Amino acid sequence: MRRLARVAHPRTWLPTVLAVVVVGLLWTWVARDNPYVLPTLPSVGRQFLDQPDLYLANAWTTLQEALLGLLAGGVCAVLLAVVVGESGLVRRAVTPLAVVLNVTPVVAIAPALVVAFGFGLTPKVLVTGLITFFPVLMNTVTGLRSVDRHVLQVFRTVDASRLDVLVRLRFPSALPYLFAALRVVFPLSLVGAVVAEFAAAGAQSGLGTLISVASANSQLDRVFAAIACLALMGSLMLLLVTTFERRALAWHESQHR
Amino acid sequence: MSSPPPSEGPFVAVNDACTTYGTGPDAVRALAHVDLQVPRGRFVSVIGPSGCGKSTLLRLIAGLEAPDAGDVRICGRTTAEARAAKVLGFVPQVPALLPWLDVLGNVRVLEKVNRAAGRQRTQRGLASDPVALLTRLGLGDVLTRRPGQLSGGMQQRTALARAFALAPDVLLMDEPFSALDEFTRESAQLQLLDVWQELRTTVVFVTHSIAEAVLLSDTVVVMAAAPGRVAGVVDVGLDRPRHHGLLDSAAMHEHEHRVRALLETAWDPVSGTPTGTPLRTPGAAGREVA
Amino acid sequence: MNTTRTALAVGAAATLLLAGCSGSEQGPAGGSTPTGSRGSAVSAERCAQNEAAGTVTYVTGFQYQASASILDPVAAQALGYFDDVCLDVEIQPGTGQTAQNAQLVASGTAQLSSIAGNGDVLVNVSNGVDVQAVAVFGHVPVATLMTEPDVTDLRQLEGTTLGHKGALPVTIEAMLRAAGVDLSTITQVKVGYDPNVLVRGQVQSLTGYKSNEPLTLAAAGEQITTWNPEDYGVPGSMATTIVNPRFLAEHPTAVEDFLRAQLRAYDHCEQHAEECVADAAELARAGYDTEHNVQVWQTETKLVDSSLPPGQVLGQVDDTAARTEGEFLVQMGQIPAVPDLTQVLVPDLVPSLYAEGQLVWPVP
Repeated sequence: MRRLARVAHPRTWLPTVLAVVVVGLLWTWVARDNPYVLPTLPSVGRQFLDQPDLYLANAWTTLQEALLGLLAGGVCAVLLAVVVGESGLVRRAVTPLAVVLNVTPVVAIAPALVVAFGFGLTPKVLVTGLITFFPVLMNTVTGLRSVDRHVLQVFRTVDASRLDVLVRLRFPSALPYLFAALRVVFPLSLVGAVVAEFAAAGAQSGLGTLISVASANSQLDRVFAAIACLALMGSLMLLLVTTFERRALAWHESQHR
Repeated sequence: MSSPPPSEGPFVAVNDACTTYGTGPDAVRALAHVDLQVPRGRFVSVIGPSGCGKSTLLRLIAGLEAPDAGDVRICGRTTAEARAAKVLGFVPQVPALLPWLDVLGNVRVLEKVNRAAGRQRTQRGLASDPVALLTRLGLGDVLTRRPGQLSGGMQQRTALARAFALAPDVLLMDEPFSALDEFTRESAQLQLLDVWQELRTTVVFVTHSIAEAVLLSDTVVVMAAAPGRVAGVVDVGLDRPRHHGLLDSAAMHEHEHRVRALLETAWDPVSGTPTGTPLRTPGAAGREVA
Repeated sequence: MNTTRTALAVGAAATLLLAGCSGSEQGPAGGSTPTGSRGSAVSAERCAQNEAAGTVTYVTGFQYQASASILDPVAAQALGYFDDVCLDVEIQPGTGQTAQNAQLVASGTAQLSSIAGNGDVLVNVSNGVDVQAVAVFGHVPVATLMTEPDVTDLRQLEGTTLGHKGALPVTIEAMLRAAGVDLSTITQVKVGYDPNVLVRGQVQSLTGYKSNEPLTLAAAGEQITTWNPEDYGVPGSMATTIVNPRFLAEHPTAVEDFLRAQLRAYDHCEQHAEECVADAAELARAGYDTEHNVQVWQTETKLVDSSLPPGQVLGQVDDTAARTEGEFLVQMGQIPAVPDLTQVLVPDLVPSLYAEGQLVWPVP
C-alpha cells in the first residue's frame, strides 16, 4: 500500500515524465528540419500502427535469440565460476582465456560461427552467449568469494563439506553480484542478438535484420521503430530483473533505501 | 570415536604448542611452548595484551590452524576428529550471521551441515530447542527478523545461540562481546552466564577485559606476548550462579587485582610494550582483524 | 535415410518417364509451362544425380534484395524450377559482406553463393579462400559516383569532400585517376546509408550502387548526376556466382542445373518483375520495400543486358575480361598477382547450358 502511494506521488513520476517530454520536444525540433537525421515521432509511431505484426514477429525472433543466448552464456558462466571458485588451478588456467574471449569483437568471429554451426539459430545464440558470458562469470566469481571469513570459520569448526559451504554460503552470498550482472547482461543480450543478425549470414528475421534491410533502403522511420522496440524490450527486461532482485535480495543492503 | 573421555583427565588439552608465522628474519613466534588444560564443565578465560597469541591459541583448539609443534586434544580426539564429530561450538569476534536468514534460521543452519555427525549426537535440554534458547537469550520476539534489522547486541546473542544450539562439548569464544558498548556487553554477559549455568558446557573464552574474565570464569589464564606464552593462571573462587551485583564486590576486585598483577609482569602498561622483548607484534600475519 | 532417398528417386523416376515425354514434345524453347512436377525437366538418371547432391545451400549477396543473382534464384525456387530439376535448394540471406559468403562456400557450409563481382572472387582467392566462379551476370562495375548536377567535370571535385561506405571502391578511385583528379586534394569521409548527405551538401560526391542510391534519390525527386567507371575505361563485373570446388567436382550436374533454373528464372523475371519481387517479399520477414525493389531489379537487368558482350550468353564467365579485371586490381594494389585463372574460373559451364543461343530446358 505504502509503495503504491509512493509511486502515485508526483515526486516519483514527474522527473521521468519531464525527461521524456523534454527529449520528445528536442527530437521533434531536430526532426522537423532534418528529416534524414531523425524521423518524426509520428512517422515512427505510424510504423507500429501500420505493421504491428512485422515488429512483433521480428521482436520475437530477436528475443528468442537473446534469451537462449543469455541462458547458455549465463549457465556456462555460473558453472565455470563455481569450478573456478573451488580450484585455484582452474582459475589460473581459465582467467586469461576468459579475458581473451571478452576482448574478442564477437562481430569478427560471427561469420566463423556460421561456418562452424550453420545458418540456424545456433550461431546467433552463441554470439549472444559469448557477449553475456564474461560479466556473469566475473561477477559470480567475485560473489562466490565474497563470503565472510568469520562465517566460513564457524562452518569449518563443524566440518561443513565444500558442497554445504557452496550451497549454504557461497551461492546466497553471490546472489547480489549475480543480479548486478543480470541487470547488465539482460539488455546486453539484445545487443548481442542484433549484432549477430547483422554479422551472421542466414538471418531471415529479427530486429537486427529489419534494421539492416531498412538501412539499405534508407527507411529511417523503420530503423527507428525497430530501435524503439529494442529499447522497450530492454526496459521491460530491466524491470523484470529488478523486480525479481527486490524479492530475492530483500535481505541485502542494496535493497534498503 | 564416541568413547567417553576419562573424567579425571583434562577435557581440552594443549600440549607444548608452537606456532610461527612467516619464515626467515621476518618470522614471528605467535606461540612458544604453550600448555593449557581445561577440565570438563569448566569456564576458562584466556586474557592477555594484543599479540599475545590468545586468538591463535583459540584457533588451534578450533582446528582452524595446526600448530607447528605440539598437539591439541579435545577429549582425547584430534581437532579434526572433533570437528568431524561436531563437538565444537565457535563464536567469532563478529556475529558472522547469514544476512539472508532470519534469527531462527541462523541458529538452525548448522543443523543442516555435516548431518552425519549431527545424527549421532543426542541433544538435551535447552540446546535441543532453539526457540527456547533464543527466548532465554532475550530474542524471543525477534525470531523472524533478519540480522540487518537487529542491534549489535542482538546479533552477537544470536551467534551465541547458534553455538549453544549445537550442544557442543566445548564452546570456543573469541572476544565475542568486544565490539559491544558497555551496557549491551554487561547484559550479554549475564545472559551468557544464565544459559551456561544450565548447560555447563566446557568453555574457552578469549577476552581482553579483566572484569569480563573474572565475572564469567572459573579459571583465568593470563598470557604474555613476544613470544606468546602462558604467564600464569588465576582461579576464580566466586560462588555460582553469579549475578551483576558481583561486579562491584570486594571479592571481584581482589581477583581482578591478581589478574592485573600477573599481566603486568609480562607487559609494561605505560609504554604498551612487552617487557624485555623487541618491538614486534607476534602473530600479526594471522591475527583476525574484526 | 538411405531407403527414403531411394524410394524418392524411384518415385521421381516413374513420374519422369511421363514428364520426359511431354517435355520433349514441347521442345527446348517451351518455357511457358509455369511449373511441372518433381523432376519434370530432367531425365531420371540426371534427377538421381542431382538428388545425390543433397540439399544445396545458396547464400544471397544481401538479404532478399531484388538484385541479379538474388531475385532470380529466389524466383526459381518459387516457380518450382529447382524442383523440376530434382534439386533441393535452401536459400540463405547474406549480410552484404561478400568475404563471408566466400568463406561459407569454401568451407562447404554453403555450396553456392552470389558475390559482388569477379574482382571480389579474385581478392578472396588471393587471400586463400578456395572458391570457383561459374557464372557472372553484369560486365560493368556496380559502383557509381553521384554528384550535384552542377558538377560537369570530375576535376571540379578537387578540394571537396567525398562520402563512401567505409572504403573508396577501387573502380571509383581508378575513374577519378583516369579523369586526372588529384585524389590527395579530396577529403574522404565515411558516411552512413543515407544518400541525402549529398543533397544537403555535406559531401560533394558520394559513392553508391547503380541500382540503389540513385533510385532512392530519384524517388525523392532529387536531381543528381552519376559518374560511371566504365565510361573511363575501368573494367568491372557484377553478380558472380561462386561454387565450392569439391562440390562442383562431385556433383557437376547439380551446379549446372542450379544455374539452368536460375537463368530460366532470370528470363522469367525480366518479363514479370512484380511477380518475382512479390515472391521475394514473401520470403523477407524483416520488412520489404516492393516498389523500390522492382526498380532495383529493372535497373540491374538493364545493366546486365546492356553490358553483355557480343557473342556471349547470359551468365558466361569470360576469361579475358576476368584477366583484365585481375590486372586492374594488381595495378591498384588490391592483389599481388592475378591468380591462376584456370583454377578459379569455370568458363565452359554456362555455355554448355545453351544450345544455339537458347537455354536448354528441359534437359535431355
